[in-house]
Amino acid sequence: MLVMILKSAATMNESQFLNHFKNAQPKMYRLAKRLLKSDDLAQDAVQEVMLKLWMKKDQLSGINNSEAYAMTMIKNYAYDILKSKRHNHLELVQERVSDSEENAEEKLEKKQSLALLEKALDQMSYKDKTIIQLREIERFEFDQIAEILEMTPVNVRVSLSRARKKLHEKMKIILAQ
Amino acid sequence: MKMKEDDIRELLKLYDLGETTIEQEETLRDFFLENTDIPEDLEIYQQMFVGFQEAKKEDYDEFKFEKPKSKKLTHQFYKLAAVLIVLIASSFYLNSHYQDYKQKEEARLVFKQTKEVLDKLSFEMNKASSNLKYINKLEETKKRLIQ
Repeated sequence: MLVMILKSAATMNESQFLNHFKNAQPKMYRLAKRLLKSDDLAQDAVQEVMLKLWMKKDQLSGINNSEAYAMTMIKNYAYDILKSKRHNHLELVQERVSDSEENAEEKLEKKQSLALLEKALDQMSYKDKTIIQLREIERFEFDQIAEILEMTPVNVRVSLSRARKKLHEKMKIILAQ
Repeated sequence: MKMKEDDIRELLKLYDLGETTIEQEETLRDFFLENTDIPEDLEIYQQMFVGFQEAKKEDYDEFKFEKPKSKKLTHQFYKLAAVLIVLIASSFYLNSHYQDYKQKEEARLVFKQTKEVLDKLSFEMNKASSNLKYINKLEETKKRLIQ
């Protein structure tokens, strides 16, 4: 099945290409938005990566997991922006935190949980955010995360364990405030 | 499928160590999303799993190959701009040449007119001076008559 998809990927037209990445796109967008904290920046990131993928569409047949490949590209794209605009990014974090703080009380229980989660994630490193996003929100398997983050599966488990504990602690601290 | 609290606590230990599978994490998720009376010390996990669930709901409008089209459009725009620049530049150039040509033409016309006037003048002068020969005749006749 996978081989068939990949063979057809060699001669993809536009609609086949879009269909091929249909499920990956929301995941790409959410990871970019988690890291870049801006709807516009996240949308641009997906656009750029999709165009890069389109350009490379003839080579995609040589890649055995194109979704993980797309996630790697969006992760690298977002990391590059974060590295080049560190100060800008910190400002946005501040903005976002005060925003969710304001609305938390008025929102329903679900929205409160989401706000709490996002506030805690905002205080974490972008590597921690990425691994939480990939495992907890997008529910990728360990070997896929290993591929996306260019790590070994063992290191993925170790990093995930640390990130989960940190997230847990941050959420507790925020709740106690 | 109600799980016993002890089983959930066991799974959470594995979860914190990064040792749970996707299926085991589904079990945990279901437990926290379906139950309302969660032991107080596990409430933070409930917040976490509810938050994860909510975070996945954010959707994305599908990518639609808009960028290459707009790139083509800007490309067209640059082409148009280049053509316009050439047109404007050449029209200035041609205009200055035309002005030059017009000035020369005018000068030629003035020269021609002047020449005509001068020709006419010299013709009249010649005619007038040819009449002067009669002055000599007058002189001759006068001498003849006086002698």
